[in-house]
Amino acid sequence: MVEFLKRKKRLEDKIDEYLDTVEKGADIFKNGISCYFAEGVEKLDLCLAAISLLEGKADDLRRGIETDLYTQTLIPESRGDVLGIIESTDHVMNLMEETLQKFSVERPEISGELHPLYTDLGNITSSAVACMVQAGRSYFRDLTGVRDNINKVIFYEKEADRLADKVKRLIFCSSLKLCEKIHMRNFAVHIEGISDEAENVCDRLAIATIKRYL
Amino acid sequence: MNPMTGGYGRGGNLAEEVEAYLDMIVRGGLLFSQGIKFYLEGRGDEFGQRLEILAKLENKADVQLKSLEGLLFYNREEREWRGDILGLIENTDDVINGMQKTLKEFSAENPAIPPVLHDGFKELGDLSSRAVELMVAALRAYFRNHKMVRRHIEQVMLLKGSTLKAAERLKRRIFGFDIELDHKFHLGYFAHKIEEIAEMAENVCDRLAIATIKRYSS
Repeated sequence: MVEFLKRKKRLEDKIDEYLDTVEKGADIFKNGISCYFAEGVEKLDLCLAAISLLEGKADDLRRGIETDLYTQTLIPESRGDVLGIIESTDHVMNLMEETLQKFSVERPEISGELHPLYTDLGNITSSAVACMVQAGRSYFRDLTGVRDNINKVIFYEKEADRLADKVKRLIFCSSLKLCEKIHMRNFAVHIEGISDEAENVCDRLAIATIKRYL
Repeated sequence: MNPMTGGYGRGGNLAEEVEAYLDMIVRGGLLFSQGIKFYLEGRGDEFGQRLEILAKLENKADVQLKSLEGLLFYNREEREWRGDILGLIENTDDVINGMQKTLKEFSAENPAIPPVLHDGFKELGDLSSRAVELMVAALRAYFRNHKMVRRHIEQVMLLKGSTLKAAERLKRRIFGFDIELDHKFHLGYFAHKIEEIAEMAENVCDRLAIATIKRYSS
């Protein structure tokens, strides 16, 4: 029994570490976007290097958690849900890294008046991810906190939608070449897509939480 | 272990069908990298021929998939694992579909790839095809010698990492190149489509890792 509890505690610690990693990723993502507009691509590259390291670490932790879930028959009744939550969270982390990498590789030339809007979009998306992480922590520690955090994620996702819509309208009203408009639009879509994914994780969390109450 | 049926117990027929299906995936991977090579070398006839063979192979793989689904349904020995096996096979089908679609897009959109980027595209095609080959080796090991699964999966992960790096290098060259922005998009898109094949192979391996743990660690 003692051994079982120890193993369960180790698994909880791993999940916690995994969520810490994603939360740090969200912070770096936010800095990366604002650095791109304020200081240029070189500063963004530093953030990209940092988030790539975290993404690799998150992958290792995820695989470790998945192995523990199946080999040590811990929380067997909800391991499918936990697995789904961890994997969809990993997708969010991947998207944050991919988006910074796209900025670094493609170096989009974004009109100056749109810089603050893109920076805001990055901040809002990062907040959505941070709240998603909080919702995930609540699922493992205190189920009563899940709902409030999910509501925050939904709020930030809607905010990101509205802001991205505004950005796209401004882009397509301009007199730029079509390919330049598409390039700028794509980056708004990439950033906004991360908050959509955070909401998807929360949809899974909501169902998993209801199942735990049954 | 029966050498004829591998680890499939008495389900010899199922074993043969799975092996035949995986053979098609490996051949698909080789056709894919050959197709890209011929496209880059401007050998249109040979490229078209490889695309045609790959399309036929993909159809055949679909038929084989349906047959496997039926066999799995009636196979009593694999009953406990049939959900996992089905998931693995269906995800593998995405890989061959992805390769066929990518070559088809090359044929339809005819991207103008500057010669200086040929090496980068060829390297990417070869890496993705190799990832598919190793993915198949890992899948075969799941049925034949599960102790080897982990090693094969690790090789796929390593290769996927190399593919991502090669794709990033190629995209940086594309976007640093003095060509029109729409041309950069077009080239970047094709680099991404090729890179995606290795990602699909990794997804299959992620599922495979869990399926292996579930089946063999209890």
